[in-house]
Amino acid sequence: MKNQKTYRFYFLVLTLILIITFIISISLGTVSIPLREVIISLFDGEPLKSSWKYIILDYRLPKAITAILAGGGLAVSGLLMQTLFRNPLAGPFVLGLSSGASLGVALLILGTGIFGISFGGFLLGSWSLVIASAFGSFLVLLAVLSVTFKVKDTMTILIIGLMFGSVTAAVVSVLSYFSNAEQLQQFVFWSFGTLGNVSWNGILILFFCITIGLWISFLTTKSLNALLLGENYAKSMGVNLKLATFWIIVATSLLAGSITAFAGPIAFVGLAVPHLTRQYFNSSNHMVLLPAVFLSGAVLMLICDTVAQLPFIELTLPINAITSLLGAPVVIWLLVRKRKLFF
Amino acid sequence: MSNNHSNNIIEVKNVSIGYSNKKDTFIVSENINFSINKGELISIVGTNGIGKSTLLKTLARIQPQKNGIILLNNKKFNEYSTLDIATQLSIVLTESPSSKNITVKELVSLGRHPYTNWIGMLTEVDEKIIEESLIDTDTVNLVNKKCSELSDGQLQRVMIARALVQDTPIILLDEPTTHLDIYHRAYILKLLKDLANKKKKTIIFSTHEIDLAIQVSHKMIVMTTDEIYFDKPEMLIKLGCFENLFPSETIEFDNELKQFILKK
Repeated sequence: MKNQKTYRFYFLVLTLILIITFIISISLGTVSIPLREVIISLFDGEPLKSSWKYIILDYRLPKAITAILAGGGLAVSGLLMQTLFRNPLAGPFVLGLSSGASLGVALLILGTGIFGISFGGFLLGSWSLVIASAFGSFLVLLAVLSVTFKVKDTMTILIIGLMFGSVTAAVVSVLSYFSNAEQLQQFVFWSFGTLGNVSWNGILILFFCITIGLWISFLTTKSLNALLLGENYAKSMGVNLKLATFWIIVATSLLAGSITAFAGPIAFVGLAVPHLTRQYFNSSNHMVLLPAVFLSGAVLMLICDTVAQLPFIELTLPINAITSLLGAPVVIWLLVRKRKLFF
Repeated sequence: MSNNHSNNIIEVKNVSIGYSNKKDTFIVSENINFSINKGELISIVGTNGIGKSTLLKTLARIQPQKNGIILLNNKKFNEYSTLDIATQLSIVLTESPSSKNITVKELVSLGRHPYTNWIGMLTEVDEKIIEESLIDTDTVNLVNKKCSELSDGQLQRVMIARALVQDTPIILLDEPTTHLDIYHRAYILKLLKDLANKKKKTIIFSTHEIDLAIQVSHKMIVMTTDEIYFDKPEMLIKLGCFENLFPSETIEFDNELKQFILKK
């Protein structure tokens, strides 16, 4: 354990990096805008071209904010799951949460056509996406958790999580098979993951969900710390296991569900960031880890987003591909270096 | 109620222990009776699978008892809340902590869990208790190490330090001497004896080290398939409890030497 001063220094550095990556993220894009003009636009001045202000304020800024919320939120949900399942490989993607969210969204986008039910425009709005996706991930998490009460072996739980993921993926492909081209396209684009399609209204909803999710996570830190020793020890130290588990699940599905709804399934951030953060913070205390993991996740997502935009080229890659391209080598590197992943 | 024994901290009356799944209940051992006084060092011995761990987990309230009554400070066991129990008894289990990344300082500090505020902030009093426990278990030099870097003996001392930090009158340990060499086995048992004698802790532990247990324990619980004996070690030797503990064609208990010897 390091002392408070070292932590404060680390947090300061992290926040600085976050600000820098944030500025880089909004300065780079298909249209090149000088940094000075970017800053003028941000502070409501008049840049040389009025279209620049529009690009910055209505496209790049919401995208960068979504990246921060999504990266931080996913990383925190990964941290919660690694502690809850006492498994270093747990994360929203691995345990089928993202697939659950996909199923929810698939039922919403594709199902409406197949079952011939018209919910009207309202249902495809932001809220319904969030609810469907959060509900989907909540169901999968509950299913995985009900299995954990029977099976103690974490490896088995992980495999079961993967199986749940396969089942939901299968249902999604059945749904896709029967839906029309337009709906399918809408769903496929959602599943690529994108940070750029979130409106200011959407960001407000996302912000709201993430804030509640983080607040609940924050309230469970004491129980999370006790859970580091295992269930029996936690119980012997006075932790109300059922209540703590319930709130951790609520927080995780709220975080992962709402992010997946808006930005699509994004892989590896939830798995890799907590491990990376533990590397340099060298602490297991969730009181320290929680904000650290959030900041690191946000930074990583901003970097991924900047890479995905392929600055100066008129192309944008799906964010899901970039996080996997960057995240998978990180996990492999950690495994090779330490031979074993600890949490 | 046994008000005549004011020193009495745990009383077990006609208790059956076991575990159950959806369909069946498996009784491992039944008709268990004993009462333990404050500051006593009690060892539980018996063959593999006889129910030592189950008994210990039942006393730790990790597993519910199947029958009978357990009294803690003359109050029924199940009348205590989880948090109240946490201030009465602490445990050291055979399972190692789930997190291998946790540092010794963090792990030991977790013992203050029942007393800290909602974010687990450590006060000066907490820090002082943590420091004392680290000194008592000779783990001060380990504080910055991670659990994955500890030897079995060190980890066991750290886990005992954590239990001490929880500041409970009773400490339960499940086979604290397994995986340790003879020196560390003796070290741990001596540490437990000191804690019982000097700090007046009531300590109950299960072990396979019958020879060593006879030397340190105030009283012993000997579990056999037919009966459960509870008495002072010398009385148990006189009764001949240890002679029938294992099949006599392989080893036998020497009453003079107070230890088991291989049969030639």
